Amino acid sequence: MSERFREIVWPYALGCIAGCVHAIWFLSSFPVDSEILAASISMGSIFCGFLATSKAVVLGMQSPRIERLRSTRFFGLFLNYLEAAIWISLLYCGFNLFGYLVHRETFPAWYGPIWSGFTVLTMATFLQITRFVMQMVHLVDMDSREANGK
Amino acid sequence: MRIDLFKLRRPAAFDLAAHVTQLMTLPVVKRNAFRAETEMRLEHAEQREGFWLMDFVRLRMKQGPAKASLDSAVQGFDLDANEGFGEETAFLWDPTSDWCVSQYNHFGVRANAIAEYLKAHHLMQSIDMDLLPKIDETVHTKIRKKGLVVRQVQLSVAPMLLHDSDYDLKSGLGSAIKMLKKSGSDQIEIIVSARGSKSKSLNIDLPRIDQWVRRLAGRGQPDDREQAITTARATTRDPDGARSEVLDLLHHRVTTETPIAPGLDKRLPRDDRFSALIRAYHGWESLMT
Repeated sequence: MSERFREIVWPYALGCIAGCVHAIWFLSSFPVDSEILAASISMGSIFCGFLATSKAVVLGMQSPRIERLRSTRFFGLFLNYLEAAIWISLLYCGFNLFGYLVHRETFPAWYGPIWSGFTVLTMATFLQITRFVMQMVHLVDMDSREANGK
Repeated sequence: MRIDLFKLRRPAAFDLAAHVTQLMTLPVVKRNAFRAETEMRLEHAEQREGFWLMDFVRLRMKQGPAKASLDSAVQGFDLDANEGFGEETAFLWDPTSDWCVSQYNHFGVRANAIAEYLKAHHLMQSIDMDLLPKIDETVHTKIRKKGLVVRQVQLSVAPMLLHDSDYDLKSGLGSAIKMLKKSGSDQIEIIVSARGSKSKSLNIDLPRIDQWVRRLAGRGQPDDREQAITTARATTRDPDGARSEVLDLLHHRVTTETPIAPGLDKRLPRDDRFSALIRAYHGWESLMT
């Protein structure tokens, strides 16, 4: 299993595990009212907004190390991750909106596990991208410190 | 005049001879191509002894030398606004084998510019064509010579450069960024040198260094700037101490020096340059493998 494969797969694997855990251990229990959906939608949209902004931030970064990264195919890989994370956040919002449609007094049994899996997947991809962006900021910082001779 | 040996790599379907013939029918202005801040062009082309002989010129329009005399003050040339100085480079192409011999003019057109020019002027389709310098394999026999006295070893290393090859090795983005964190300054130069009297030498196993350098540098294109090791030179002396030589462990090109007498206008006559190329070609026939 290559490193890149692991890097791509772990958020999805974590999401699947979360869904399974929900289905098996919590017997698909889920809050009865739909308030949780509103909270989820705001979380998803905040993630989406942050990710879209970080795309602009990363594209605007300028330092020798970032240039180096940009000259390799790793930068394309990063953009792929970012795009996937944005789509996942958007779909997560959509899935929560869809929750209002299927909500009658209570949620259907299948909704809870999928919601859990999706939430964990969204958070994991968000965490992954945030870490990459922060590391890139560190690269820029290292370059500027080196340029200042410190 | 320095002369280098190259191998032309071109698609079999690309008729270079017809292309050159067609280029020469164009008026001079149409043959100009802008490259590296100035114009260059194919100035002359002819066939001789089965070879194509071409003369390229690079126009130095911005700045140039002065007219100097031993017994009077230095003065400028009287040039019009659209005139400059021409740096000439003779080039030989063997259409049957695609081996090329090129004059090296430091201020003139270089081999990769020639390849670029010849394909860029062909507007019909994009062509994958370049000139690969022939590497002198005998440098490695020289390195293995017994009792060679090594005086200095010089290496330029680009540490931990991130590469597309890392991508091919399926590295993740996380480790790519980590690698970038570790890579420090652009280049590290390592010079190991024996100081003092001429008899002093380094106790260095040159063949092993050579092996190591070649393994690190890979067998990529010799002109590739993306290599981890950018220079690797060893200054050596014969066991009897008579002759010192700098061996380039990375890209030792097949090259030769031919003295040519300048003409009355202080230029190297085109015919003499062409015949020097043909002589060099015949001298290298055994290397053309």
